[in-house]
Amino acid sequence: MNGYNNPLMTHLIIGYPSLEESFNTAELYTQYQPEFLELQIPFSHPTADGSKITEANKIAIQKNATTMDDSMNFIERFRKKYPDQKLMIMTYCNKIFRYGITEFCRQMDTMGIRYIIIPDLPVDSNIAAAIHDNKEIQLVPVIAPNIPEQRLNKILSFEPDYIYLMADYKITGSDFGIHEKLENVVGNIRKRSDARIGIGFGIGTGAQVKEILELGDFAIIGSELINAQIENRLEDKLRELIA
Amino acid sequence: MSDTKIKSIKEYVLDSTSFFGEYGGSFIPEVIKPNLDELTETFMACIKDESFERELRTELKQISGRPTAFTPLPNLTEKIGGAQLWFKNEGLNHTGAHKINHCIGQALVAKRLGKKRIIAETGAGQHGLATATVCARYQMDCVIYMGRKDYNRQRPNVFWMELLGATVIPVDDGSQTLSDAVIAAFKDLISNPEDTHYLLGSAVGPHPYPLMNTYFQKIIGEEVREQTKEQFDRLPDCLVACVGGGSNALGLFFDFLDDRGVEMIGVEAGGRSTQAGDHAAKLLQGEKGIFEGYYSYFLQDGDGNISDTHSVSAGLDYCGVSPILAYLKDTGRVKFEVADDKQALTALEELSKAEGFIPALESAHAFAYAFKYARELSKDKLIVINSSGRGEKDLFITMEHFQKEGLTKFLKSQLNGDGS
Ligand SMILES: Cc1ncc(COP(=O)(O)O)c(C=O)c1O
Repeated sequence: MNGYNNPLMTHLIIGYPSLEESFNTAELYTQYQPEFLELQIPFSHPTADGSKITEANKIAIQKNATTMDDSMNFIERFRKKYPDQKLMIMTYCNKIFRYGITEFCRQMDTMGIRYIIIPDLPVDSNIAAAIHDNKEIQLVPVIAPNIPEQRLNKILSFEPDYIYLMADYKITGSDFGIHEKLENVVGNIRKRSDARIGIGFGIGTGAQVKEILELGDFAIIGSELINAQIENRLEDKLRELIA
Repeated sequence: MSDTKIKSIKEYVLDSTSFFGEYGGSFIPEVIKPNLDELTETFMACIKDESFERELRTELKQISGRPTAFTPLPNLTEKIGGAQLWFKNEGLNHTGAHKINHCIGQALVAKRLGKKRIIAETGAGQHGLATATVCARYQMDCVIYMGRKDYNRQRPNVFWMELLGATVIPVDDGSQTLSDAVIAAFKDLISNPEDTHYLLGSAVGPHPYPLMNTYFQKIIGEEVREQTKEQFDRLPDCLVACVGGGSNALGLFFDFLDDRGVEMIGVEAGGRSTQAGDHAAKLLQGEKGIFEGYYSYFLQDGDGNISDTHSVSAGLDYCGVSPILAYLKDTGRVKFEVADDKQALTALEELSKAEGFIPALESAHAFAYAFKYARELSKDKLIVINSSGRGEKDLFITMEHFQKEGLTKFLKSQLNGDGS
C-alpha cells in the first residue's frame, strides 16, 4: 500500500468533534492512502449538506469556535507533515468571500493546494473568476446527473482536472442511490475531457464503493465516516471501504 | 456608486439579467441551475404575454379582492400634528397579507412550467398560508418548511396551512427561524430538481426571485399611485414600509422609483437591542456577503458565519435582504430606518385604539417609524404606509404582551375543558 492511490476521497470537517481530534482523523485517513483527502472549512449554515454534516459544522463553529485562521493553520500544519497527501479544500462561498478571495487563494497557493470545492459557487460566476485569477488554483465543479449538455460543455471549457459528480439528486448523507442518467453523464464527460471523476453523496459501504468505481475514478465518502466515528468503528469502516 | 447615469431605475431593475449594481446574482449548486434557468425563461416569457397578464389581474381581483383599500388615519394625523397619514391596506388581501400577490403570480408561472409540486419556506406563516391557499386553488401538492421557533409562535397559521392540505415541516437546524426554513427548502429542491417549483416568499434568493417577486408585488405601488391621484390629484411625498426580505417594501416603492420627489423609507426590525443576535437590521448593521444564492447585506460575524437574528415579528426575523434594496440603499434612492420590538408594539396599540385597525407585527414597524417621522413634516405632506398584513395571526404574541394573564387563563380553561 503506497502512493496514495486508493480510489477514495475521504471527507472531514475541520474542528469536529474538536480541532485536535479532526487533525487526528485526518492523520488516520492518510494512513489508508486515499487519492484525496477533503477538508471542509466549517460554516454556520452549510446550505447543501445533510443533517450529519450540518450538525458537525454547528459543533465546529458554535461549540468549538473554529475560526478561519484555525482552519488555515490546520491545513498548513497538515500539509507540512504530509506533503504527499493530495488535498481538496471544501467550503461555502461566504467564508472565502469574507476572508478575502485573493488572500485565500494566495495562501492556498503558498501551501501548494490546487483544488477548491465550493458547492454554491458556479464556475462561471464573477466570484469564481476572481479565484481563477490565480492560475494555480482550480475550482472543482460539483455537478449532478441532470446537467444539460450545453452546461456541461461550458463547465468543461474551464478544463478542470477533477469533477465532483453527485450520484443522485441528494444532499450529503442521504440514502445511497445511482440516478439513471449518471452513466450517460460520465460517458459525456469522458468523451470530451480527461478530468478524473469523483462520485459522491450517500456512499457508505464497500459494496457501494465498488459499484461507483465502475463509473467514476474515485468514491467520495463523508457522512458515513462521521457515523462510523461516532460509533467508534472508523478504522473498520476505512478497511471496508478500501477492501 | 451613483445612479445618475441611469435614466429609469425601473427599467434598469426590470432589464436585469441577475445583478442590481453589484448585488444579486445566482450563487447556487449546479444541480438546481436547470430548474432556475427554466423558471427565469418562463417567467420572462409570461410577463411579455398579454394572456398571462390578463389571467394574473383576474386572479388577483377574484381570489384576493384587489384593489386593496387606501385608507386615511385622521385621528392619528390630528393627534401627531404633522404630515397627513394614509395607509395601503394589504391586510385586506385574501389570507391577510401582501404575500398572496407573488404566490398567485408564481403559481401561474409554475402551472405553465407543468410543475405539480410546490415547496415554500415561511416565517410568520403568511407566505406559507398564501402558498397553501394557491396550491389548494390550483390543486398542486404543497410542502411548507418552517423554523421550529416560528412553528411554535405562529401556531394558528400552521393549523390553517394543514387544513388547506399542505404538509408543514418544522426545521430544527440553526436558529430555527426563516433563514433555516429557506435552507431546508433549497435542500428539498436539490433533492427534487425536476418536478418541484420552489415558491420563495420574498424578494431575496438567486435570480430570478428578487426580480420576479418585485414584479408580482409592484401592483401595490401601482394602485397607490392611482388612489393618491384620485384622492389628491398628486403623488405622495413619502412611502414607508417594513423590511424583512423586502417584498412588500419593493411592492410599494417600485412604481415610484423614477419619481425622484417621492421619498422612500424602509424600516428594519430593531428587535430588543443593537447587539448582534438581538435584531434583524441587515441594511443598517449587516455586511456584504453571499448566502442563500445571492449577494447582498447579511448579518454575519467577521469570519463569514451567519448571525442569529431576533424580532418580535417572525416575518422580519431574517438575516438577509433583497439585493434590489441593497442596490437602492447604495444609490441613496431608498433610506433605511429602524423600529424595535417595543416601538412596534406601541404603534400597534395606538393604531388599534385610535383608528380601529390591527396591523401585523411586521407592518407595525412601518407604522412606528411613520408616526415618528410625521412629526418632522409639515401638514401639507402626505405619508403613505404599507400595512403589509393584518394582525390576527399574531394573536398569541400580541396577547402575551398586552394581556398575559388573560391568555394564560384562557389556555388553561381550554385545557381543563371548562371553556365552553
Ligand atoms: C405581514 C408581513 N409583512 C412583512 C413581511 C416581511 O417580508 P417582506 O419584507 O418580504 O415583505 C412578512 C413576512 O412574512 C409578513 O407576513
